[in-house]
Amino acid sequence: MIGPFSEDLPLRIAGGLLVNFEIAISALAIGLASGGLLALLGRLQNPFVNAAIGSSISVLRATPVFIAMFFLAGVLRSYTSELEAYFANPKAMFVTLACLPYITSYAYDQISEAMVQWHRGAHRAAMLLIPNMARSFQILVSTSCFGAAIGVNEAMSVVLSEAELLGQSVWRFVLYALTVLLFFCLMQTVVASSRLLHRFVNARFSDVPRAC
Amino acid sequence: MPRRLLSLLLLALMLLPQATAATAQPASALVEQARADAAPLCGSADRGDRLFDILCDGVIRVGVRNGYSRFATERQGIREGFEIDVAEQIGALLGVDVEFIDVTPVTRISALSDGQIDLVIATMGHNSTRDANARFIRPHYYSSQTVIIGPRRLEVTSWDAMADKTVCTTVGNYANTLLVPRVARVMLFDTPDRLVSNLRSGTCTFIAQDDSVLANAMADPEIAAQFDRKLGFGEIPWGMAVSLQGSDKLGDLLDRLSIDLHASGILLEIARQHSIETEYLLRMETLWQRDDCQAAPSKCLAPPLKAELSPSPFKAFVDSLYAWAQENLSVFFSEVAWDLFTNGMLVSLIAVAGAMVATLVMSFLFALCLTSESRLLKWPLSVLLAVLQSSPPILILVCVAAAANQLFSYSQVVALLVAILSIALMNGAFAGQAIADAWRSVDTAEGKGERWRQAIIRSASQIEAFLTNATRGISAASFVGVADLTNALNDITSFSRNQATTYWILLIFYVLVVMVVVRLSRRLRVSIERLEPKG
Repeated sequence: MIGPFSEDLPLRIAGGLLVNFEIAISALAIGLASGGLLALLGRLQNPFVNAAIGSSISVLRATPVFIAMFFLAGVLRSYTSELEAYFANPKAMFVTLACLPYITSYAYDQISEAMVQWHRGAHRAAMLLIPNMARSFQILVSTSCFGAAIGVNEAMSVVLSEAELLGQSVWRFVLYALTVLLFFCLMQTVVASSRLLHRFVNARFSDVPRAC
Repeated sequence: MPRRLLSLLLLALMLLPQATAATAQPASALVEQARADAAPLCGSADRGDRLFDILCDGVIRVGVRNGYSRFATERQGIREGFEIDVAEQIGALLGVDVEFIDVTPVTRISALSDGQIDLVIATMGHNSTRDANARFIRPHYYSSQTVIIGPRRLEVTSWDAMADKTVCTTVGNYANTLLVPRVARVMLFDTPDRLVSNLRSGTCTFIAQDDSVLANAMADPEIAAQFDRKLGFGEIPWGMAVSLQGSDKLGDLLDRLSIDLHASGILLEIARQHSIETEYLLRMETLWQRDDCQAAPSKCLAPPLKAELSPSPFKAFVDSLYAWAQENLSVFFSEVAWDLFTNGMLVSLIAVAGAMVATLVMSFLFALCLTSESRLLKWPLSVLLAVLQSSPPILILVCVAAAANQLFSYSQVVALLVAILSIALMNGAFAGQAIADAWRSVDTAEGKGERWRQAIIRSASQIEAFLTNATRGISAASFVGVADLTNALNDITSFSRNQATTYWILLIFYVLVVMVVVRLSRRLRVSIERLEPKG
């Protein structure tokens, strides 16, 4: 191991990253489903439904993930023991739920736009949903690191506890720099994968011109 | 007639009907029994009941008023009135002296519970709320009612005739709740004396007041010649009372004495001597002479006045609101919690404002550097941009905080500046890149100033988006120790019972702040877009 870092640090960081991805994937799946449902309801053109969706989305958009996470962790703290019967890591679940306001509102915007484009026959424009959702996945992975604030054992939490052990030494900054590099590589991998997928899908769709 | 002689005569009068009562135990027998029970206890300090204290000491301390005309007055040491004679009568029946002690409506119940007096006879209405504070003697010894007094020449035989009339009354009177729905309006005065003077002067055509209060005024021949009683309502039974503690036997004996005083007509006789209203006492005399009432008094006892007004649905709403506030907002009832809360809110607002301004400044700095012709400036900025766009916000916060702590000693101001700078770096980088991209898209033939203006207009929506994002992001400032609302409410939660409230407040506060910022940012975008030349 380089420098004064703990022997098992890479393993612990890897384990933490798994938690980050687990949170991000769960939030993305639920967010896509709920945002998609809202987008479908929005197409009903019912003024009451649209008003309800509009106000719900503006509240969801205005909810900071960090605050939503604190809120859920605080309000549901007394139920943690009961929740442990259903969830392996209730605190990670709080972070997942806290991401939902953001991802639901984002998915609603993107899916609504994609549906509009699809109906216009602009299939390739609709397929922009893929890189857009990949971008939101990046944000979800980053945001899941907020879990460190409520004691979720994810990657940032591992890095911060290791940094505590390093004190004020310069190795602390080395650790931070390595973490930045790690996240940079991961995010670029996600971006590259989404581009590949987008190209693959794009190749299978073509725009259908519609008469105005 | 000397008072002692009157008492003896009335006592003899009282014993007559008792002899005929088939089932009731005579009051005199009860007194004798109590004396026998008290005798062995007279040597001990704790006799178990006030009745034994009275019989052993040979004196009963009675709380009375001293300025209630015809009921209880004191002039030059001489006490007179209906209630004074009733107290004397009770003393005579018990075979003890009476010691009068002045009480007022404010002190009469506390004097009982403090043990200053054994019995109170002081114009005290018996209502349900007072049962919690004193043990009332029943049957009640008197009853007053609110009467409407008006000119003799006006005939009023029912409430229908009062529907269009104005009635003068005193404030804070329970009977007004019954009066107000039945008359056109009420004119309020502070004392009964003012009512009478305004009745005389003609300012008031009708007055409404307790008949016991008006007894003296109505006894004035001049007033009686012009005005008479029109209607009566809101009867209030008057009760003697003993202490709730240690007066069970005294109370029971006085209950029986009170029955006998009504049945024998002694109370009626005393009332007549003092020229007070006797309608109630006449009814009571008839009632308590009945064998069934003598045998089972509880069946003939009148209940206390129900003083509580029927609650409206609004009261239930307010009660539930109050209970909710007590339950949920009690976390802010301590000074330390309130100070933390207000300070946290202030710091959060400063952080939000700081993050917005810093993000704007940072976005223009990034844009300037990214559009610079100097590669020394452009390349490092591009790398920084990639790092900022790939790193979790919390990592940027921690890195900037660690760097700041190397340069400065930790303080609240440093922590706040670290948080603002970190959030501004992240969001300013994105917004700056958007401005730079827009700058590159503008025709190079435009002048330098015009090119920048066009770039800003084209990137207005991105600037708006990242300002909103900065507001959401600054909520994580507590992670590096900023004493914002998140930290404050977390601290408050640590020593309060109700945790949910603090988190709800936190969530609502930030959602509202972000909504306000969204609106402000939208206005900023609209103002920027207006800069675009028309056509």
